[in-house]
Amino acid sequence: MANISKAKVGDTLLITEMDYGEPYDEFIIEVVRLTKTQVVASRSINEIDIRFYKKSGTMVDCGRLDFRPVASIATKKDIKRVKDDILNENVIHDIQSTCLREIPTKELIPIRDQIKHLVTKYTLINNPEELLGGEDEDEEDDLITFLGL
Amino acid sequence: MSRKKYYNDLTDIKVGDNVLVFEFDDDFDEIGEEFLAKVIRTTKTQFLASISENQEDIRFSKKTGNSIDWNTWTDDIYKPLAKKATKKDIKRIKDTIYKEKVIGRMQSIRLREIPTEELIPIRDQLMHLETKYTLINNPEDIL
Repeated sequence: MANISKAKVGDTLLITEMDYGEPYDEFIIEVVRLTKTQVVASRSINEIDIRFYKKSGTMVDCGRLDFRPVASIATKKDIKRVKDDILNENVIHDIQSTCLREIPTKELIPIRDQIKHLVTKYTLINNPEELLGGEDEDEEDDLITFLGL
Repeated sequence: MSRKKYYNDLTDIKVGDNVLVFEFDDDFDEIGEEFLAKVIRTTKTQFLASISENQEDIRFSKKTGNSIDWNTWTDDIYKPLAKKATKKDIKRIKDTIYKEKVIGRMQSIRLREIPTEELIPIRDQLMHLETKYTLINNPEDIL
């Protein structure tokens, strides 16, 4: 619950989608209109207005939504974090949608090795416990062995 | 199109030989996938080859190279036909298997572990390479 009665038109709201009380996903949205009891914000992606109660920050008419959004006035830090997340997702999407089959294997191998190195490096820094079980390296190619190539 | 065109004489095939198996559709004019299989048993008129990918065995006619029981094939649309694999075929398939392995590894990497600033040059490099090789191999895709 967050009181957003001080929000003004043009302000940015941080919307946190809550899954049974736990934060799930977050995004930012701009305030476009105010009523006596509600703040109306517009989501730029689909330009759909979303209404929030000024007093609680909870969304109006979210009865059928699984993830109940809660609004708060976004700080500069919130805006930076969400924008960074969006950029990260966009870059990941670009990488995943690259048609790797167009690229010769000899060009792909150094990039694969570079990515593997980075994953190991940042997993060691951020989630070292995940590396304790050892990485699944199936370098032995069963197919090639089978065919005796 | 005549099915005769797709006959391959394999009467001298031996156990241990590698065969290249093509898949083609009902019209016999569209080759589907190709893969390698190893001959594991022969009779007077047939040979049995084992497909490396799923360890499934498939019987072929020695005289024609056509699959004998193609109608029990997992995918009825594509009917397998074998031919003796040349060194060039083996190299091509081996390269394809290896490339798919590299691609599979790249696609399974958890990119979210890596900070955006490290990912951006990788993205740029991949996009540059994709454009470069599309321009070389399939320029019409870009035009």
